[in-house]
Amino acid sequence: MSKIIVVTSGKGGVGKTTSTAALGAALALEGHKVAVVDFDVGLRNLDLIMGAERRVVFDLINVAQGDAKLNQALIRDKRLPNLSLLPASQTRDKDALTEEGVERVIDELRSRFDWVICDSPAGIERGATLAMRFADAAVVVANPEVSSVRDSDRIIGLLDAKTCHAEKGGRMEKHLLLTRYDPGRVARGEMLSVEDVLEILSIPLLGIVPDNEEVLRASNLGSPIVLHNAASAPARAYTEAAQRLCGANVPMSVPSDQRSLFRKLFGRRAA
Amino acid sequence: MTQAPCRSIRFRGRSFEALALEPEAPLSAWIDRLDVYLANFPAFFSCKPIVIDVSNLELDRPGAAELVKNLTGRGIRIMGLAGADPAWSSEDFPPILPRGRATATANRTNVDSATDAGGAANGLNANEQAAFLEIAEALATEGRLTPVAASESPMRASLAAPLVVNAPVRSGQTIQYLEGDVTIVGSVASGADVIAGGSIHIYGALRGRAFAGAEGAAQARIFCRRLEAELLAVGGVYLTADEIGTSVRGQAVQAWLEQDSIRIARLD
Repeated sequence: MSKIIVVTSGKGGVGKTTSTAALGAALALEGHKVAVVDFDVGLRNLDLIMGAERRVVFDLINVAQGDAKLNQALIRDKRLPNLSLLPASQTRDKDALTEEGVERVIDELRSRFDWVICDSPAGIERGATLAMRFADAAVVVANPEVSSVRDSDRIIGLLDAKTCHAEKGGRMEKHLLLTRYDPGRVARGEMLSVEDVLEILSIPLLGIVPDNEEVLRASNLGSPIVLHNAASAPARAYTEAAQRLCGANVPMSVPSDQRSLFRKLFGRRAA
Repeated sequence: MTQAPCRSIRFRGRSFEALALEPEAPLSAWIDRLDVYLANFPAFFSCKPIVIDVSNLELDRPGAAELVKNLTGRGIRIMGLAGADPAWSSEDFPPILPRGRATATANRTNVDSATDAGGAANGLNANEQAAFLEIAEALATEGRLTPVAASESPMRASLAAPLVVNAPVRSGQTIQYLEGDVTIVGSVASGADVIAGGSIHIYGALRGRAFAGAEGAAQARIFCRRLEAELLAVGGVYLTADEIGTSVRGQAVQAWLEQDSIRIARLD
């Protein structure tokens, strides 16, 4: 039984693309057949994070409009053979996507993969609503700060109103992924705590990804964080989140590593 | 007694009640009938806020200008035009009011008594009769406009079935229920609006905006388990987040209208 997941947030820059790549790679490492789909038409990024930017020939728009076959557009990951990428077009805009076209692509992906993870563009316009339209479940990415949390709340409202699932009267499955979490800054009151965010959004927590410089390093190298440095704190957070997505009961924690703890102590003393 | 020169002035969005006069075509005949009534009741329009509703007239701007001139010449002070094309607005024209709502069924329930007070409503069609009865009622209460509407509309609201929302109200969503009370079992997020004709009950945190008594019911109240609101409004009187005292922030409270300002008190 395959599952379509949309990774969405409302606000830009909170870590949707990073999370899509990491969750996709983590699920693939668990042995599932996974496709990650970039819906950010016109501003494609997922190909860069996945390190596949030199191999893009056809894209989502080509497949949705019937100009290319899904097979021609899918890019198989060089590190993980059961992980594929469907890139977005950089030259077109989001108006080139039609609901019928997207539905056809999603149906075909559903028949071929265990997990289809759709990377939504920021905002609440056409691109974002089409990315969530045919999803079975949503991963709502938020940073522990007020503007991100409010935008996520808005997106949760849309998930409950604008998706096929919701329109058929079903209840959309939603998970919160809290990224860029810094326990030190939370303790100093500079960031919202996990409890604050959960109280506002009232959806179940999928994972807490600590703020960590390894994430940027992995992005720059074009490697999902779980493949780049599996022992790093964010990689462990994403791996556990993927296991929870599969239904495993993994106790919730904020993974940390020795160095960031050391840096935190040092930083506190200097401040 | 000097005040700092940089002190700002205060603006507040408020709803007031006005009498809406609805002229009917043909205008010349309607004005003739108006003159008859003005002769009988010269004080009908004095010192009253009057809005002219031209939506049934299909006037152009010069026609509307002439109507305004005609009515002004008869001692009717026009505070605004309803049902007019917004493009007409200019300095020498009354302000154009975008939306209007009838205040009440209450006026209609009082038709009989108002007929006595207003006197002979003979020779008028139903619309004109209603308009004059409205004025007569206002006159009878000496300046206190729509006293019956104020005391009766909350009663009516409570008769309507309350709206119960069993989910959190998310940012960007609006719950509007002008028929009566709204109960929300869950929180109201920042960026969400709840608009009720009656009272608003929130079993959760209120972080968005709440408008109780949206059609002027001054007895409406707002109750919430935790006050983090961006804005509270009761009966058209507003209070922004900045004006909400720190002693009630984050507390279970109720808010109500007292002498034209919103009072907030903790519930526990």
